[in-house]
Amino acid sequence: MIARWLAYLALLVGLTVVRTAQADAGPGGRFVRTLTVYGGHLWVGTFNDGLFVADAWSTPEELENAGQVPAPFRMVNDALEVNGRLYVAANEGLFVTRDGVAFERVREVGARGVTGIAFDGRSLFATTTSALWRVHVSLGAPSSAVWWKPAGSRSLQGVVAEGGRVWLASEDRGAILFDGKRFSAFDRLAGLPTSWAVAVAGDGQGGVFEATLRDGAFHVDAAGHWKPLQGLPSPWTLTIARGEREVCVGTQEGAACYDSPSAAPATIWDAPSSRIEGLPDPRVHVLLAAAGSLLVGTEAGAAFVTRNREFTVSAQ
Amino acid sequence: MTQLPFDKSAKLSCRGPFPVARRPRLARRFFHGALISLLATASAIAVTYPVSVARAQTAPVEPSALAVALEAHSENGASLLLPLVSESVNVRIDDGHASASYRHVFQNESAARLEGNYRLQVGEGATATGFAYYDGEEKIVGEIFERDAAQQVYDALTGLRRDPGLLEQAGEGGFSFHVFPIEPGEKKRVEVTTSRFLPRRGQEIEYRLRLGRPDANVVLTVRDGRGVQGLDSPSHDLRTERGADGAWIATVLKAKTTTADELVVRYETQEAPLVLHATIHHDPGQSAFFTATLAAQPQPPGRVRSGNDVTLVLDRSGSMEGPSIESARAAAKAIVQRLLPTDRVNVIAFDDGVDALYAAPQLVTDAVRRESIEYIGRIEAGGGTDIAKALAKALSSQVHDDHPDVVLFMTDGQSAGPPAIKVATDDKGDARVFTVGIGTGVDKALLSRIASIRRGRFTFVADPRAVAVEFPKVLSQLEDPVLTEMTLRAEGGTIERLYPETLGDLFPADELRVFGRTSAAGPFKIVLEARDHGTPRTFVAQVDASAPSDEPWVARSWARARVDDLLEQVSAKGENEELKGEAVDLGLAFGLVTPYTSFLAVPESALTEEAKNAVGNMRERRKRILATRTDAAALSRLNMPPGDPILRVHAPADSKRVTAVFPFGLTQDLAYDAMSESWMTRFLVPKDVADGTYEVRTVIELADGRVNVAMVRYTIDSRAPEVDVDTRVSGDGVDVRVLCDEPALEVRVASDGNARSSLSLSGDAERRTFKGHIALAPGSHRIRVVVADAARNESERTIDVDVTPRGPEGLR
Repeated sequence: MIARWLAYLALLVGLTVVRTAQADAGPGGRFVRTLTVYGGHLWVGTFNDGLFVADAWSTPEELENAGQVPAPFRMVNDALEVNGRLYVAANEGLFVTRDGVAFERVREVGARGVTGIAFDGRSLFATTTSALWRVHVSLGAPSSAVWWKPAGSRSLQGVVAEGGRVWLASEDRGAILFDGKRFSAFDRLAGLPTSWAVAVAGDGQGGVFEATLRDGAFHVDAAGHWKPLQGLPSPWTLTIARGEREVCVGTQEGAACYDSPSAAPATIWDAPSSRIEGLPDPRVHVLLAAAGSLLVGTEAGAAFVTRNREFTVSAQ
Repeated sequence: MTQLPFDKSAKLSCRGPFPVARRPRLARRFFHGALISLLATASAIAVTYPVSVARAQTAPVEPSALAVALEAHSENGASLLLPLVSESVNVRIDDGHASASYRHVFQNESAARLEGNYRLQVGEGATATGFAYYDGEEKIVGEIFERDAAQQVYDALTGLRRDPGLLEQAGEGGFSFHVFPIEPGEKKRVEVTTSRFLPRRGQEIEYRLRLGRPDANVVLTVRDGRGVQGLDSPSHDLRTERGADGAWIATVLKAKTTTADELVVRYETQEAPLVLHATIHHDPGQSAFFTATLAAQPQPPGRVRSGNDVTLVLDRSGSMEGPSIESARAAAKAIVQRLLPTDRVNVIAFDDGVDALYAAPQLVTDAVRRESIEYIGRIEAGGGTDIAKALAKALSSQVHDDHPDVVLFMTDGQSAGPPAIKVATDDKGDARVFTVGIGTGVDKALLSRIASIRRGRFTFVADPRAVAVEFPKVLSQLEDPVLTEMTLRAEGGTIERLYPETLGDLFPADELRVFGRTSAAGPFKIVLEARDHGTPRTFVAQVDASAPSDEPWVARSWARARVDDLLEQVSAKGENEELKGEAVDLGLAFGLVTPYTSFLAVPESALTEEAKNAVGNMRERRKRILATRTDAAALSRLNMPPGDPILRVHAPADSKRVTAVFPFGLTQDLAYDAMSESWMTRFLVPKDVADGTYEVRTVIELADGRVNVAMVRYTIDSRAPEVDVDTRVSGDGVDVRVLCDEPALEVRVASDGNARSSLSLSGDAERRTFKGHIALAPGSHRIRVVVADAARNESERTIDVDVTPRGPEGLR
C-alpha cells in the first residue's frame, strides 16, 4: 500500500495527491460515483455497490472505516442534501432519508433510473432518462411536476438548477436550458461539437459548463455562445464541478481545474490552472471540496488532494 | 413545454396511449377528394338514416350504449348507425375462460361513401387477440404492432385515402376500429377475436353476450376440467349436445322473451367448494404457464353476519351526471336499506372537494338510516375528481374498534394515481376498501391497485344502468372473508412471476385466480396456504408439467395478468420506459391489444414504399421480441459506445447466484431486483474496447443446484454514420433526403440553428433512408443535418439553399 502511495506521489502533477483509500471492505477500491457531506458525515455512493458512510474522513484509514449503509438501491448516480434530508438518485429510483438509516422512495418521481438531482433553494429537480421532475420539498415552492422528453431528449444524464434556470445534460440533445417555460437544446444541431453531454455545472451567470462524452468540455453562455475548455488531460470527460474560484473537470485520464470566470477573464479557459493525476484510477467521476481537501472519486476508490489555498466546490 | 400537473385533464394527456385520440380527418378527406357533392350526400343520408335505424334497432339508441355498432359519418358531420345485417359469435369456454370469435356485417345503405367507427364492448378484462376486415371480397388480417408505430402507418396511409384498419383498446373491455371507405351499398365485414375470464359465484359460471341482432348465430363450446353440469340459459332457448371430445356444444335458438337483447348462459362445475384447481400450458423448451383457481360459496340465505362499519364513498364529479349518478345513488340507498342495526354507516360524497355526512360511522338506527338515504338522494353531479382526497377522508374517519371497517368506493372517473396510492399505502388502519368502477372510462388499474393494497376487491360495471346486476357482488363484500393471509408455493418445483402479486382475501361467492410460470419439468404440487377464521388450512393442486398440455389461453392469460400488473404500476407511479417496454413486449409476443399495442390490418397493395418499410420494421421488431423471449438475458442497450448499460437476466428469485462474464476481463455478480423481477448489474465498457460485436456469458445457479447459461450479444460502435444529403427546393421550403450507410436512430434538420424551423425524423433498427420537408421563408439559408446512429454517434452536414418565392401561378 505504501509503495502504491509513493507511486501516486511520483506521478503527481500540479497538485499533491497525498492520501488515497484502497481496500475491499469500505468504499476504497470501489467505483465511486458520488461524494456528499450530510449530517457531518461523508456519504460515498458507488456505481454498483450501494452507499457508504464515513463518520470522519480526514485520513485514508478513517475513510476506509466507512460502513456500507443498508439501502434499497445499489446503483447510485447522485446524492444531495436538501432541507436537512439526504436525497439519493439511484437506478432503482429517487430515495430520501431523514436520519441516514431509513430510506424511502420519493413517490413524486414515478420513474426509475434517476440520473441526477439539483436544488434551486426551493424545489428539488431530478432527471430520469426521459423526464425532468420537479419535487415539492419546501413550503411555498411550486407544486410537483414532470416534463417528459425535454427538447425531445430521451436520455437525460444530469441537472443543475440556479438563478431560476435549470440546465440538463443529455446524451442526445447536449445541454438543455429550461427557463421555466421553454426547453432549448444546445447540441450538434445548434452548432456545438456534440449532442452527448455527461454532466453540467452552472456558471453562476445564467450559463453552464458542460462535460461531453468524447469532445471535451465547454462553457455555454445564456445566449448559446460556446467556448471550449482547452488543455484537458483527455477529451473523454466524465464530470464537471464549479467552485467559487475554480471549475474542475474529471476525465478518463485525470482531472484539471480552471480559474473561475468570476475571478478572471474567459481566456483562462485556454489552459488549466492545475491538473490532478496519479489517482487510484485515472477515471474521475466526482469532485467534492470538503474539510480543506478536494475529494476525488474514481472507478477504484476516492483520493484526497490537498491544496495550499482554500477551495470549495459546489457540485450542485 | 408541456407541464403536467396531476389533475384529471393533464393525466389524460400525459398517459399518452390510454385515451383514444382522434384526428378530425373527415373534413380534410372530403374537402380533398369527395366523389359526390355535399348536397347529394346529405340528401341520400337524410333518406336512408331512418331506414337504417329501423333495421338495426327498434328505437334510437346512443351508440356508446350498444355492445356492437358501426357509426358512420358523412361529409356534413352527421352520423348514423349502419344496420348490422348479420352477426355470428363462436365462443369456446375452457375452465371458465372464454375465447370468442365475432363476425359482424354492416351495410352502407346510403348513396354516399362513408367513414365509420366500429365499436365492440366485450366486458371487463377482455383482450382482443385477433382482428380482420374485408375490403370487398379481400380479407385483410390484422397484425399486432406497437400502438404508436401502427398509428404512424395508419396516419400516413389515411392521408392517401387508403385506409388500413387499426383496432385499438377503447376503455375497459372495449375495442374500436376506424374504417374508410365504406362504399355506397357495400357490406362491411369485421372479425374480432377476444379473450377473457368469466365471473364465477361459487360453482356457477356465467357467460353474458349483448347481442346486436335478435337472430344472431351463436354457438358455445364448453369444456371444464372440473366437470360441467346444468348448462342452460335463462334468456334464450338452447340446443345442447356432447361433441366427440366430450365438450358441451350449445347452439342458441331464440330469445325466451321479445325484449331479451342479452344472452345469458350458465353452468356449474362439479367440484366441491374450496378446491384448488390448476391448468397448465407447456411449450417444448420453455417454462410452463399455469393458472390456479379456488372459489368460495355464497353465504347461505338467512345467515346473520356480524356488524360492520360501512363507509359509502360516492363520486359526484361532472362525468357522473346522468345514469351513472342515478345508478350509484340507487345502489347506495339499497345498501343502506340492507344494513343491519349492528352496522355503522357513513356517507361521503366527493368531486374535487369532499363532504361527509358524519364525522365517523354511526350506528344504523332508524334515524341514521333515514338521514343517510336522504343525504344520498341530495347528491348531485358536478366538479372534478380527487380520489386521493376522498379516500383519505374515508380512511381517516374510521373508528378503531372491534367492528370491521369497510369502505365501498364508487367512481366513474380518473384521478391522479400516485397520491391516491400513497393514501392507500400510508394509512395504518385496517379498513378494507372495495372499489366499484362505473363505465368504460374508469381507471381500472388505479382502482384495482387501491383495492389490492387495502385487501378489498375491484368490481367493474361497464353499463351504469347495470349497477343493480352487480349489486349482490358488492353486498357480499360486507361479509367476513372466507380465507385470509393466502400464500402460494410449490412442492417438487418452483413457481415464479405470479400475478397478481398480492393474493388478498377470499370472500363469499368470490374466486381466487392466479397466473404463474414454473420451471418444473415433471409432476409438482401447487400449494395454497391460508387461514379460515384464524385456523390454518392448506389446499393442494397436483399438476404434471411433463404431461402433454396445449392450453394457449393459459399463456395468454398469464401475459395479460402481467400487463395488468404493469398498468397498475403505471397508474401508481406514472409511465416510464421500463414498464411500458415490458408491456409492449408482452403485447407483441402474445398478440394482445393493450393500451400500448394495436392490431393493424392493411392490404400489401395499399402500402407506400415508406409504409412498407415501416411495417417491415415493425414485423422485424416483433420477430426479435419473440426470439428474445426465449433468452434469459438482455442488455438495456445493444448498440453502445463506452457507457453504462444495464444487464438484466430473467432467472428465479431464489437462484443461488447469477454471474456475468464480460469479454473485457470483468466478472460481476448480479443482484435480484424485485421491482423488475430480474437479476441486474451495470457495467462500463472501457473506452479502448475496439468496435465489434461481443457476448456476455451469464451463469445462473438455480436453487436446486442446476446451472443454466445464457448469452447476450452487444455491439460496440464508435464510428459515425456516413451520410449523403440531397435537397430540392419545393413549395414553401426544401425537400430533404438523407441516405445513411447504416441504420439511423434519428435525423434532424434545422435552418441556421433555428429550432423553430426544424425537422425531426425517427429511425429504427433498419431504416437508412429518410425524407422530409422543412419550411423556409424565401431567401438564402444554411441548413444543418445531424444524423445519429443506434449508438448515438453523430454525423453532420451543412448545406446552403436558396428558396425563391413562388410566382402568382405557382411557377418559379
